[in-house]
Amino acid sequence: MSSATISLLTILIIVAIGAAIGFLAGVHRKMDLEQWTVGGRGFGVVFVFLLMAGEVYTTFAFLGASGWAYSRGGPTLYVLAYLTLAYVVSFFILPQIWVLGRTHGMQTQSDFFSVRYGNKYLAGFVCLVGIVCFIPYLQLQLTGVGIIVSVASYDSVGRTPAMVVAVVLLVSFVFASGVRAVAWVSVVKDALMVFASLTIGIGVPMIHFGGIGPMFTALAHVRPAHLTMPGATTSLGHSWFISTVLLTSLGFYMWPHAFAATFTARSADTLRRNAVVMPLYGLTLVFIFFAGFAAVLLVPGLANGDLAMLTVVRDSFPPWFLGVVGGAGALTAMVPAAIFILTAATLFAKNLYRPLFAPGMTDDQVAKLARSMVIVLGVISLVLAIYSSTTLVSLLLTGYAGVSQFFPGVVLGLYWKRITTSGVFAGMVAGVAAALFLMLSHRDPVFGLSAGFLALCLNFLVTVVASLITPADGRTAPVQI
Amino acid sequence: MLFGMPFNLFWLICWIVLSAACLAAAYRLETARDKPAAAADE
Repeated sequence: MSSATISLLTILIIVAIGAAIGFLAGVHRKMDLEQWTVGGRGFGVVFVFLLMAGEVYTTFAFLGASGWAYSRGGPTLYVLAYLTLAYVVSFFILPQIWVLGRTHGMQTQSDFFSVRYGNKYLAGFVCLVGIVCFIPYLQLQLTGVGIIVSVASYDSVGRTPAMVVAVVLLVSFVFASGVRAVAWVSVVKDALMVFASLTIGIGVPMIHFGGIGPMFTALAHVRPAHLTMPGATTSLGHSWFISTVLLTSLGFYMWPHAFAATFTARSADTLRRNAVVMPLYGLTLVFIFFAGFAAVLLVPGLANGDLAMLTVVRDSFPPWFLGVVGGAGALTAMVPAAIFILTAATLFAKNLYRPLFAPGMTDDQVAKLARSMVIVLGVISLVLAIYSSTTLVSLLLTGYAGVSQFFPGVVLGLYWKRITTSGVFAGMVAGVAAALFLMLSHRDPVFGLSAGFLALCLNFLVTVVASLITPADGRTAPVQI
Repeated sequence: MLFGMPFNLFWLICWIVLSAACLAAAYRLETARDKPAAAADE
């Protein structure tokens, strides 16, 4: 058997096992809207961990992080800082959001804005921005799956066929089993990812340099500036690092899928315990970075940095292991893509279509529409991924700049009684407009700072000032823990 | 270099572990605070 066949067979077996688990997750359960979107609110610490880890450690972690370590160097370490800080933020705000969700039967992020501010247009705007920001993130996952399967199969499978198969499988299991499928497939994905990242992170430096220490010593000798700020870049200095860490750690749980995962928890305590454990899982990323840094010396001059880790693995390990990495990588793209599509479909049906166009729809009709939208969104994201050419991290940061603009509305809505609907609406519009303008006109970073962070500061300022000059609407945070 | 790693990487790894430890301590404080409150409610 050729190397390509061995590797491809391994990938196919892993993906088939993952997809089968996803299908079986919803068997013998009636998939109403509550069960499909938030798993009946019955997930304990282990399942919430799996769901959140499944959502968090995406293709970006697998390829983008090592790709940036390879092409940018020092600035890429922002990932370790922001993930850790994001869990600290989550420890304090998620339990409050969970209580509100439980009290008011919330299933989506837009439900939060609808309940807290009582304005369907604000909730609709949040929903629309959320869906638009999902597009680059979804595109990122599918682009990733194409790269992974193509490289791991020694280029015997093209990127487009790999993306088509991935979309068909993930759309099918999401359609059948909803959020339960995502949590269960994460079991396979996370186990493989931990195994793959530890093996690569320790194995690659050991095979080529005799250990991690000698690898860094060699890198510091050949490229002394690569491991410091601004690394191999000219504009990503310390102020960019700090502002990006702030933006992404505050915006982390503002992603509609991460926000909605809060509602799957059995209790607020589950979320606190999850926040304690999650930072440690981030340590697996360190090993991915090792592979990216090693690639600087082993495979210099790659046109696309996102290929760095897989290229090194292909040159260092036997085909079956490349297949395991390819399979793990494919699931690492499919699991988050599945939850993004599920969340975006629910948002569209429940928070955009029903309140604005068909107020008489029942929950069952909403569930049917949401499941149909899964197919539509799968096709749209596939088309975008086929025609995309942006690097993975750039796609991620564009989405972050948008969803982070929900943060003032969520946090001030929880803790500041004087906030008004007009204030939140004005701040959010200003923040989203500023973020879009700066990102799309390639003005990121601005004066050395993250463009999304500047937009978030503007958002906070406008929200506070507009709230103070508009009459109080008497709506206070409906619950305090 | 510290333990074979650049200082900035070593520093961030330390803080990942320390953050988890700090959150664990915060969790213990919160649960200890909530217990008397829950008992009073009963």
